[in-house]
Amino acid sequence: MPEFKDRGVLVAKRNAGSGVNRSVFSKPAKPSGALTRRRLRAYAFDPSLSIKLETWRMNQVTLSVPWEPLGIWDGKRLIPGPVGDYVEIVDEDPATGMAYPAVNLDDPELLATDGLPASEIDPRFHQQMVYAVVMSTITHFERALGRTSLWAPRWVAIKTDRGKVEWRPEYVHRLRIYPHAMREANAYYSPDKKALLFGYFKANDHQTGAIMPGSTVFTCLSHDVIAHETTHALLDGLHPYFTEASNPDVLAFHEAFADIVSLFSRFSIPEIVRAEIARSRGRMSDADLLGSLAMQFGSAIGSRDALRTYIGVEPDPGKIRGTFQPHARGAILVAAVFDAFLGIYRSRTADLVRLASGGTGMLPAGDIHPDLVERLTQEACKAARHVLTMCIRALDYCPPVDLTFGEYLRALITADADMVPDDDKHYRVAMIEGFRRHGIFPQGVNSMSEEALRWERPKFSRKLEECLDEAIAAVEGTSRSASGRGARGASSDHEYVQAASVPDRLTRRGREWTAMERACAIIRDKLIELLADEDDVQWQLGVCVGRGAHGSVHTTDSKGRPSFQVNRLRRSRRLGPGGLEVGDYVLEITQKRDGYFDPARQAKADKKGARPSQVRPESGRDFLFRGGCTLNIDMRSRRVRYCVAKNVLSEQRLQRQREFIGGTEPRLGIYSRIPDRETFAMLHRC
Amino acid sequence: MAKKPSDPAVHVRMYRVGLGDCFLVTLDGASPFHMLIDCGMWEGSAAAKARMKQCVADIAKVTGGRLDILVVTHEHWDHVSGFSTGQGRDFFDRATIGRLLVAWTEDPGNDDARAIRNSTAALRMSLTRALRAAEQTGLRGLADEQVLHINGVGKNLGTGAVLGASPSDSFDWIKSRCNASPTTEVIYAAPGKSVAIPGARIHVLGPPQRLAALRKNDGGAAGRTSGESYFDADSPDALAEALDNGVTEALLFAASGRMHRPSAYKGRWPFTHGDGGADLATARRTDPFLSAIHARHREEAWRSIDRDWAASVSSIALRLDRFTNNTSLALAIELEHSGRVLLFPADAQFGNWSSWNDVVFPEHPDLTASDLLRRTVLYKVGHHGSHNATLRRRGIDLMTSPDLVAMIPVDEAFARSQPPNGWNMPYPALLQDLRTRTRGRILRADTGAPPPSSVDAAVRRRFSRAVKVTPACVKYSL
Repeated sequence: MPEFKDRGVLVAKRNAGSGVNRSVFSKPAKPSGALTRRRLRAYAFDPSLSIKLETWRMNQVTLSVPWEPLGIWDGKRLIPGPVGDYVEIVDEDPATGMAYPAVNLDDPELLATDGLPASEIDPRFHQQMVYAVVMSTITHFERALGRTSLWAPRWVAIKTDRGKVEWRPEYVHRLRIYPHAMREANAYYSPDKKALLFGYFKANDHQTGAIMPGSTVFTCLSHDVIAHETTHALLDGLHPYFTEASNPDVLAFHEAFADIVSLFSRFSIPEIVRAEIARSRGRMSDADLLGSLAMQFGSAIGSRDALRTYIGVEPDPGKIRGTFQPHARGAILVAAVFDAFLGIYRSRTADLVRLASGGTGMLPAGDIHPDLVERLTQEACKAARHVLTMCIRALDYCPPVDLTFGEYLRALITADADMVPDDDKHYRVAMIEGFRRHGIFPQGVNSMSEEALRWERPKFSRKLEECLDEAIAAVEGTSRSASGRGARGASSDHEYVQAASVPDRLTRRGREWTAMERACAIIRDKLIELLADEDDVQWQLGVCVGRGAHGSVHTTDSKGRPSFQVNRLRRSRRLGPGGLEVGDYVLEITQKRDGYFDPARQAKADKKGARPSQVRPESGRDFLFRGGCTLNIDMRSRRVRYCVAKNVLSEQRLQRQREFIGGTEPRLGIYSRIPDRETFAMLHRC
Repeated sequence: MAKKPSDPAVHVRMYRVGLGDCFLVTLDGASPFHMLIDCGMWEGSAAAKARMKQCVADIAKVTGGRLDILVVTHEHWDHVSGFSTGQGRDFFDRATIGRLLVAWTEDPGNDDARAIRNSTAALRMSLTRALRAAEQTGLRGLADEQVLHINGVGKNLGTGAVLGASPSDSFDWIKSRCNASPTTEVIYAAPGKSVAIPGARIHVLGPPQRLAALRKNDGGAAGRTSGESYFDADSPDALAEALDNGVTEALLFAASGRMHRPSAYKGRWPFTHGDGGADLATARRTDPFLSAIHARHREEAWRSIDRDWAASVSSIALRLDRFTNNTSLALAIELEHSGRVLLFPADAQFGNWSSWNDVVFPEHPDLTASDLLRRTVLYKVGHHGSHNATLRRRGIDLMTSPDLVAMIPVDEAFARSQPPNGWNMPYPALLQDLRTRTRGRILRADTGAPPPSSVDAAVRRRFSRAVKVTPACVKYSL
């Protein structure tokens, strides 16, 4: 009989003889609906700061995450454990052959004390912290995007009646989280398992004094690492093709974006911002702790203080041309965004500093006034929240494949201009300046001005818009039940009790997925019919179908014609700071084409009229080349507002990808021997 | 008027051992001067033993049993297997060896070298332990392709229990054989050293003496050294530690099966306080929460991580493999009169190559690595033409001589058949660049004869006269 005793300071009461933790929800009762938030204690950074006089106090924080019942329904009762609507934490440690007891966060004693106190030696606290940080990261995303988050589907091979193998997406309801997955200085999101794997290891014997040599470092206790990995998972759910390195920016973007989210979500904890602002006397550029990531991890594997530091980095506009390792290249993008944030903070607080310094702007020596600290903190937190929201929102304005940093800048500017038409706080200028100072320039624009950077409004034929309108109407008609009610708005009381007991597909998120899947199929069928004769529209959408299609383009429809996929249709209701609401459908279309290193073979495969059966995908292509577009369709007028396309027929882009993956100067090609699926495992290991 | 002095005729024989290096450079003179660079191949290449035997017999015939210089570039099976195994041992035992040239990393009197040797030895031992443990468990933790991959890397490093002899045995044997012989001079070559031979000079380019450069395996390491990625401490020591810390222990535990009572393991790392959880298999059956999770997800074996932790063995083995490649002794043979250069970088990777520019040659103060590359007329393609052992900008782009010829010691069919996905050797883009630079004059160990290409007829005629292909070797005469 395993000993799953409760340990630590707080010992939950047990039902005598049952051996099962008592749960407040052991009988699903109708709750009052008064519970909206769950408060959980966590490390603000990681355990290493709790043993330093200077930082221990600010390292203890309490995160507030949306309330949801936790536990797993076994048909009869709710078994307490860290399983919610979005994630399930399974604390198995196969390397040790152990399993650790699941924390019962619904235990009344833990509810009364904001969860377990921070502890390195209690695995249940580890679960609690991972849960709290993952959920708050998800919340940032949902607030910015104005919709619920879905994880990337799993692709499964299904044998059709005719004996052919077809790949279909399968719904994944929860992200699996393993807090103690392996004994390695590594943590990663596994796109294959839809899981986060956190490792643990012994600190190196470097005598830096920052950390005890040989002490155990748990990556699942690092706030930054958890937020970083969760972001990888969320981003993969939004843009599944951003894990395909078709140019040097793609994987770098994944890393950069994960760092951006971990950096800026830190500002949602006012306690640490306040402490750092007081310490640095309001000069954000001296607030080292706020601009550094994974400090304990950094000290434990080498001699540095943090894994990555974005503060005090001098911009070097030439660096991006010679930097290809994804983390290093991504760091340039993060530095650009962080630079923009520092600029925004300075301009937001210049008046406060003048007021506090009698107009000189020079604060007197010594500690600054607590009121000033408080006001500066508010400004910093607000600016950071805005920047984070901007960065996340831009994802809906990115092309579905082959993203470059420059395109991301354009997406950022366009998305923000939609939400905040007059940029009176100069966020967009700050962002443009940040990118410019780090040498990140988009291609195909002739200036870095805001107007030039915004995506153009496309002109589509009436026919296409009618077709989309019709398709959306069909979808809306069949899926009223699944209509989203904004970002994770409180589930109804009824759903709330049932959440753990209904099948995944019938939960709110599950229904949304089902509806989306159906919608995509309808839209695809309608579009294929429409586009067959519309060469211009095909070109605008970046796809190629019908009779004139290239032979290298894949066939995915049952009639064996070249065709495309409609990957997602999501509704997005975004609320701007000025109260402006922008409602969009975000529609994503992608298409595959075989790529060859040898232009002659490419030409042969491309040849018009080549029968698709003769150039089957696996016919020895050298690589996969993708194209497609992201459409933003206005929810009310159903007009296409933006069409961000990457043309599948672009020879220039094909050549660029060829050079990138075939380059002899080591770039990402060096991982070619590793099975692709664990991209992040290798990326983080090497 | 005296005839303008000219170079001796130079013959380079690339032995067709399969995937492996074995080169004989002969400078004609009053008596021919023979220099043998490496002698090894991957076990498992087709008809391996017979081939090696044939090659060694040819070497014996050409040299008459006298090697003026023997170069051993680094301790990998595909470079040293021929010395001590049955096929070559007799020859090398009896041959007269004038000088043995090995990298400074082999120097017993050099502290840095000792440190490197000690730590790689420790890592090798850890890896061996891990792999043995893995074998005992039937490599339960790993997917099939990973098993094969580890076995492959392990074989090259000498970590697997698969082989009777390991590369270090072979390397040690030839070293001690030369050390014991009073007539053999052993030279530990550091970058900047030049060795004079009749009609030519051998310049040493690598391995670099800065340890950091040795640890760089690829361009990505630039990011690594500036602290941009997770696994920073990429030294063999750190890797050994990582292995001993976790993986080996865990593998041994797994190997022991049910013999260990869970309680014996309980309370050990990582949780040393309290009761620290319960045995995994038991908990899955009896713990209400875990059993409920597993009951709900009965179909979800794809999500299990039971095997994931063991993958780090293969990643660590791979890194040791690359590290060893970077300890390659990289040589440039400069012909005295024409200044033409024969470049033998062994398996040097990014860190090794990129350090060459800093090398100063005290005896030839004006000489630079770029200068040598510019004058290169024969390039022994590094690491069998892999993607990461020939630099583009600081390597092949500098080899601008119109007479450039490349020799690739590769067995493409064998390489491509290697698990898990085949090794991409020769790398297509590299091959393309080589074709352009050499105007199609590429010699390969597997296909031998140059492929038809578009060079002009005169060049082609001259080239085909200079090349002779026999079953044992591809010979090119300058």
